[in-house]
Amino acid sequence: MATTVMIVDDSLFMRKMLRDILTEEGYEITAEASDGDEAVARYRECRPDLVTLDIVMPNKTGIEALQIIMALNPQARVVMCSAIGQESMTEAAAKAGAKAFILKPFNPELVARTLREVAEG
Amino acid sequence: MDMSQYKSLFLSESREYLKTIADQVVALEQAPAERSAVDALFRGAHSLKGMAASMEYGDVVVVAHSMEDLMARVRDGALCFEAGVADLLLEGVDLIDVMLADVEADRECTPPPGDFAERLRGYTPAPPKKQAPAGEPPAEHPAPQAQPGGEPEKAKEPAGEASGTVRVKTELLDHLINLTGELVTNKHRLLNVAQEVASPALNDAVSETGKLLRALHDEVMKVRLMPFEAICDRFQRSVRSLAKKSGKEINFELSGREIGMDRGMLEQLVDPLNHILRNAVDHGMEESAERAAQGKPPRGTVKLSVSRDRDRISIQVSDDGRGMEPQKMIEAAVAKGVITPEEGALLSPRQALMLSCIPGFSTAKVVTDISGRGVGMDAVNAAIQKLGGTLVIESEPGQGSTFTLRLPMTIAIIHALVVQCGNVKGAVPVTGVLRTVELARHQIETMGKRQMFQLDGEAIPLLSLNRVLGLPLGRFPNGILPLFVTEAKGRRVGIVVDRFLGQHELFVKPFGRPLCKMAGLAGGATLGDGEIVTILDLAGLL
Repeated sequence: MATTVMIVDDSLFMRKMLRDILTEEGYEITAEASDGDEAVARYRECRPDLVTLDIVMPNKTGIEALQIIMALNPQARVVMCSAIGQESMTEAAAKAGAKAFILKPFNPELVARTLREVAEG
Repeated sequence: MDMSQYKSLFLSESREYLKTIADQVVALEQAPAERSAVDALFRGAHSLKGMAASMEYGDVVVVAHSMEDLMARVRDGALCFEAGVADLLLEGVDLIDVMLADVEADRECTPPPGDFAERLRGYTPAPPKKQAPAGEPPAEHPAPQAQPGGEPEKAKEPAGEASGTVRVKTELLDHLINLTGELVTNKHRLLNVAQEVASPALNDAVSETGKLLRALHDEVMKVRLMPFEAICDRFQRSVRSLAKKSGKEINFELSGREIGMDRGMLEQLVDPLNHILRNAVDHGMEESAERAAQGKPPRGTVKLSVSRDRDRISIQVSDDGRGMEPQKMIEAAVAKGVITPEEGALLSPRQALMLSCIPGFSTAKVVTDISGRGVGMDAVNAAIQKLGGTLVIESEPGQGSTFTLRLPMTIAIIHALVVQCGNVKGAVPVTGVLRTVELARHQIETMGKRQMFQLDGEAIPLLSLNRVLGLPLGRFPNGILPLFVTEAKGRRVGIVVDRFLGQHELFVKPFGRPLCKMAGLAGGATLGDGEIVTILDLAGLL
């Protein structure tokens, strides 16, 4: 069975790119969310194997959403998406339980490798 | 990875972010401490940067990145949101807008001015003015803005891809309204046949078809509706930059942005509304000192409000500026030779204000000195009438002015009064008809060279539509002259025709060349019996 992924990003463009990269790699995209609140709600509903979570978003930042998701499921595998210049954020995310980081703009091979590593634990 | 497949998504989403940024800048100028707007602005620039980096549009990245950094300083309390910040951000929006157009046209990107990023990075607020308005912290001690735990109000975000919606090409919508219009014409044909045949079953079927058609028409119109919001940001931007240029302090209030209007009509409203707003800021509004001397708040207010009243749209532009004086308008028009002193004496205050819409009035220098309202208002009025709408001006000297536009929901299918003049059938949109009158000959008075009649205590000049159209004059053997009253050059006029043929629902089609070049013709339509009527554009004819 394919590994399920939820993609969270407030930009439709970014979600579409990630969806294309991950679908190509054989993942099944079971949910998408465009803000922090929606991310938490969708996570409760479909409990995907992996989550890619953007940091800068409306209605709860990625960090806030991450904290709630980790509280719901301490085993959750969440990969944060961040841009250059957000080092302070990545530290906070790591502390809150993020398993890895992928950097924007996305490098398809790097994204695929990072998710594979997180999925294989 | 082939990124060209993402180009159109990049363009449409980037433009949504640019619009969000411009909207939030204007919002923040009104309420500089609004945390949710600060956050939304930061996110907008951040997302733009990320998308542009993915597409490898380096110049866009540079501009968006410096905007993001500037907003980060505001967000973190290192900088107050003030006019200088707003200017830089809007400059950035304009720069990116140009670059997106280049991307869209596959042209090489217009590079941003070399010092743009530098100016944003090095931006420091201007020293605070002596009298800082109460309640606003001085620039060097920004109030702590972060409110952890507080639920930030939902700021406006680009809509993204909502479920249950599809994007369709606008031509498809135009085809739909065309087909619906043709069906309406055909329904009238069927009605004519049904009358001849006198079959109850056919009558029933035709009347049922009529009901269905009305429902179809309503639905098609709904599909064509776009919220007024689609053109709002241009007004916010232009009022803001005009106020800045003229050194006036102005609050711009907008309401009714959610009201839907036909997209064809929206496009044609941009220029007229911009014109009215420009006049309000440039000429209607006093300088702060002058306002203060009159006991008014130093900051003037310009309002643009849109509302819907059943099947009509009402758009109001009002200001609390100096207003206009009818008497001075009359004096100016007489001085310019636009009207005679006698005509001037007959005008009501409301009619005097409408003088600004007469071609030729606008160029009168004396008017510009008094109120300056004349500039291009004739063009504005003509544009509104072309859309089947009306313009009413109200003003209270010292208190301000209000311009009210009333428009139909749609421009394609109209209700019109069909009249006969000689062998010509013409149609006048009912929106342009104040009332119809059947006048007995003895009610006509002659004043000088003009023929007039009395209506509600006002002497109204008469004009023959036959004469205007160059047709032989009507005879009226029974001594009754049918006429309709309309407004031209700010005055009511009675237009005499040979016969009224009733009110019809018409599907208007634009004329092709060379007919479209003729002044006074707004288009054509087919009646139920197959006959063609000309839609008359009264503003152009009279």
